[in-house]
Amino acid sequence: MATVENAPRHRSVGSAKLREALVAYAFILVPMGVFLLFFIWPLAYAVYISRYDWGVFGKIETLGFENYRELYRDEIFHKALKNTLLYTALVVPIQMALGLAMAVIVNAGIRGKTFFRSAFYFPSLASSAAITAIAIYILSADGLLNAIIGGNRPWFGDSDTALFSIVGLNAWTTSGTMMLFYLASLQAIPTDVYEAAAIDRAGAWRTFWKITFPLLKPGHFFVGVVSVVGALKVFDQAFIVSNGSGGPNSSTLTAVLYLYRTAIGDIRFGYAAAMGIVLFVLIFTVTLVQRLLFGRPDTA
Amino acid sequence: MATVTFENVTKRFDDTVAVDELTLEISDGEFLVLVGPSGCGKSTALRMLAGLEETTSGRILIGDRVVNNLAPGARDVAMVFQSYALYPHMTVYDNLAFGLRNVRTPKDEINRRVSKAAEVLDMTELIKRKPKQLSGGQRQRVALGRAIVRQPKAFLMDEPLSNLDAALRVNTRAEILKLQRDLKVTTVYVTHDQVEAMTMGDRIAVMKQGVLQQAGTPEQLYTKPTNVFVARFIGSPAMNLVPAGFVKGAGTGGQLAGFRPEHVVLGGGNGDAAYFQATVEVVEYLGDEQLVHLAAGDEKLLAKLPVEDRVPTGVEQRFSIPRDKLHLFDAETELAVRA
Ligand SMILES: Nc1ncnc2c1ncn2[C@@H]1O[C@H](COP(=O)(O)OP(=O)(O)OP(=O)(O)O)[C@@H](O)[C@H]1O
Ligand SMILES: [Mg+2]
Repeated sequence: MATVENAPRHRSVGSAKLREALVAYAFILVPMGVFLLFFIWPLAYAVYISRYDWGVFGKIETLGFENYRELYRDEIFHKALKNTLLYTALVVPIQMALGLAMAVIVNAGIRGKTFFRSAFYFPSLASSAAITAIAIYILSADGLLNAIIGGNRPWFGDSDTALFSIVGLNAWTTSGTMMLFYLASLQAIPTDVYEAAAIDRAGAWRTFWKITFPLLKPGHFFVGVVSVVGALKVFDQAFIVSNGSGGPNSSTLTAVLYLYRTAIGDIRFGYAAAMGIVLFVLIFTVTLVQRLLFGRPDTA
Repeated sequence: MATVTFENVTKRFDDTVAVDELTLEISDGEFLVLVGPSGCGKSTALRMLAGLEETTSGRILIGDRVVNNLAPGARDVAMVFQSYALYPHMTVYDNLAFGLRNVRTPKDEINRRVSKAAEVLDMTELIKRKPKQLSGGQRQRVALGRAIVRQPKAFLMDEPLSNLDAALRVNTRAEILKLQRDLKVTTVYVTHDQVEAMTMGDRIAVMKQGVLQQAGTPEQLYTKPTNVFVARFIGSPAMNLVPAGFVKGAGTGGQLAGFRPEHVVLGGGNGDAAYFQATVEVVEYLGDEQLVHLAAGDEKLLAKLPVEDRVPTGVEQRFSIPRDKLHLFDAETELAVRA
């Protein structure tokens, strides 16, 4: 972004620059401090305790990499990871597609767009616990959904459908947030490009796929990252629908839920920390890959 | 190719009337320049023709078809935007090809036309670049290219040169003219620069606050401006306008006398010429001519004189204007008074 000054500069200008830089650093200091205290420090601490058997009162036994080795062998952890990845692979595209579709509808200058905007965003605004509680009623064996389709399947209680039900629930609730991000991105596309396309005789469909969609690249990247990171950390809905067990038959046991169970249920903080580190590395890697794939927007 | 007609076209934005009862006919293959000061409604008129803006009232015709209710794409016009409005994610080739692909033009036909346009605009080696990798002048050529690959009924250009530097502007002006002459496509060209208007237009339409003031050839506007606004707007430096009584042998009271700086003659005033006395304040030497700033009472005047006679400053002199170069306007209505 900034070009390096390579012209010789007078001393006074240099010290003015230095002063300016110091002021800038002073402003950054507070957020940096918060970042260090609440993010870097816990992360480092987690790395530290992941090498011990760590209980409520601290160190019990030094294990070295034993926690990681155990993770490597832990079938339940594998199941939880698999659930999480499957969940992510399903929910991310649905969320993004829904969010984009809603953003395009709301952005299209139709009648009642303020109403649609609120209606689409509402589920994201409401507390996830409340929404999940409502979903449990709707999806129960004698709930609204079954009343409509005439079935009697307990959607969250059946290991064949529990995870997919959470996918559906979260795709619905989170897409409102995705819509908001896409809306901002849509409004960054200059109108004259659309005018040029209209004069170039592009129909609505081609305008969307050839103009809007590619020009949303920065939006896709941002929404993609937020969506993937959110999905890999899925916890509350799985916790609520299974009463914290991850059941039935571990079908809703997500990585973070398992981590929680290990830490709070089994009081194995060291092992849970190791899990957290593995998850962190996973999320970090996925974000990096996404950045490499989509990170260079070519909008001017 | 087609004629373009505005019939009593009005555009109102809330309480501003951007275009007021515009009536204008542009013949087939003509290069018409729409000129006027900023905010006078030029772009709005052009955008209504393109279909990017709805008309409040009146009819717009392309050929003999009323296009008021047609979408921009159905009007078969090409437009060059002031901002260029290139597709930032597409290469130059794709920018040019997009409009052809949209109507399912065969691939080799697209290739032929794009290559031809690139060649004409001397940008064959830029064809694989994206807009971000081009200079302002190159982008401008791509915007032109996007218009000429199609064979539209009309070209619409909204200040296409305003982002270019002076030298490039002169070159591109000639380039656009040559293109238009070769293609013979009816062109409506918007600018606020009267020099551009004079040099490019077959005809010029001068607008002021949404109202068409006069439409005619550059020569007509220069020699027979219909009102004070056109008289002042066309020509550089601008026409001198003084109460008629100031110039001996000009009009009567209640009139304004107008004369162009280039028609002022040092001395004279005998025979058929009108004349006035004024003091030379400043002389700007331009090499081939000199711009002489004059003062007489409250009036400030400008004369463009040959350099042979150096004019001393601070001296009162007599200046004259040949009678046929004198314009008279009614001081109330500001309309030209024809002798
Ligand atoms: N979308 C709009 N909403 C409200 N007013 C508008 C809109 N577009 C233009 N106007 C007004 O209409 C008038 C004419 O605008 P227009 O853009 O046609 O001027 P212009 O002659 O092209 O000026 P310029 O040389 O500065 O481009 C102006 O007073 C402008 O403020
Ligand atoms: Mg304009």
